Amino acid sequence: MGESVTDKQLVERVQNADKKAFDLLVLKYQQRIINLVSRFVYNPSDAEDIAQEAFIKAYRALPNFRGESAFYTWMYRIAVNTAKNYLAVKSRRPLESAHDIDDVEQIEGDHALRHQETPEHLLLRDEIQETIINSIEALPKDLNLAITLREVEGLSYEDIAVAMDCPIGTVRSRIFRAREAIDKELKPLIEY
Amino acid sequence: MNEQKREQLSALVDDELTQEASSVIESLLEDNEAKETWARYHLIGDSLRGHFPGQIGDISGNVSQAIASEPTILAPAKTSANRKSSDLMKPVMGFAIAASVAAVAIFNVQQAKEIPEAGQPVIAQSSIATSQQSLATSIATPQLVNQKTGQAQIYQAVNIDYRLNRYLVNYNEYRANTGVSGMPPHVWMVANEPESNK
Repeated sequence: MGESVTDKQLVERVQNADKKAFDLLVLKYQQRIINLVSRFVYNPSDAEDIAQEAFIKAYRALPNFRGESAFYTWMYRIAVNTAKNYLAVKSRRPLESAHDIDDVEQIEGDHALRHQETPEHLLLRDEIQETIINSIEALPKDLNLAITLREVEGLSYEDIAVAMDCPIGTVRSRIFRAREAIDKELKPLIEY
Repeated sequence: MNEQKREQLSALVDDELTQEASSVIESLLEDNEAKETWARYHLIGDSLRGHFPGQIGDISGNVSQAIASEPTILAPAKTSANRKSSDLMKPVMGFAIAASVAAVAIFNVQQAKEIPEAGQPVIAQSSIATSQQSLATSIATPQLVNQKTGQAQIYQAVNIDYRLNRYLVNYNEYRANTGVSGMPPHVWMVANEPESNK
């Protein structure tokens, strides 16, 4: 994963006493970190607690973060270590449910231990995903392709402009309009 | 938040805003509605890339609350004295690293010679006789593969294959459903990194 300029700016702000900037990093990465931690623990609320602890540890360690790696790479290691510590502590107690520590990082997100999630949460998760897919399906073809190339393929605006044979400004506008359309359907489902 | 601001926010999410980034971040920090939009825009991407956890959680409020009671960070600036001492150490450290790498390389070469295996890349004898610097360079290339690193690479390759296969199946299903007739995900595949590099 390449270095994110936005992350770099946010980190610098936090390092210069702007606590609010850290909120944006949490909002950006929380699902990925919870998803990562879910590979280590069965219980979804444990996963959230561990993810929360990992973010707090990251905040405390930010003065020592010099940006030699991308913020997410650094955050990833903190989350993995926090989860491993949790499992190590837990292994001293009778085991309820946990993967082998050495294997768990290889488990992919969708294989994360869904069977202990509550039906309500699964319903919401599935509803969100279905809403997003339905919204994308309903988009005009040019917006559909632009958002897919960006979010699924991870192409830069410049590469998308080449692929779609249009100016970068058009790419930016198409991706924005696609997001607006998806967000319009998504917003009623999510409360922050 | 007007449409122009929302479009800038969308570009910021994609890390495609350079000049206006600072001012957009500034306004984002002061606008809760914009923060929520920022979170949802990232959620859309997470969903499409399969980064969704089993349960959609929001821990941002709790983290924010916990951080509120933490001391404010003021990262110490690098002093000139620190810089001077680190500058002095650079050549010494460089030599030490080069020497260590060379030692490891020679050790690996000896092991590779002792246990030859069919299909394994072979190191040219001439590279052993070259300077420490060239050995340090050659170890960074895939040419030097002893048994141990070979196993690690096979393991990594299996892992990448697994991830790529999963991605391709998912994406092909997605393409079939949406009727997208765009290019296949070659670029993404090339850019894929093993999990351990994250």
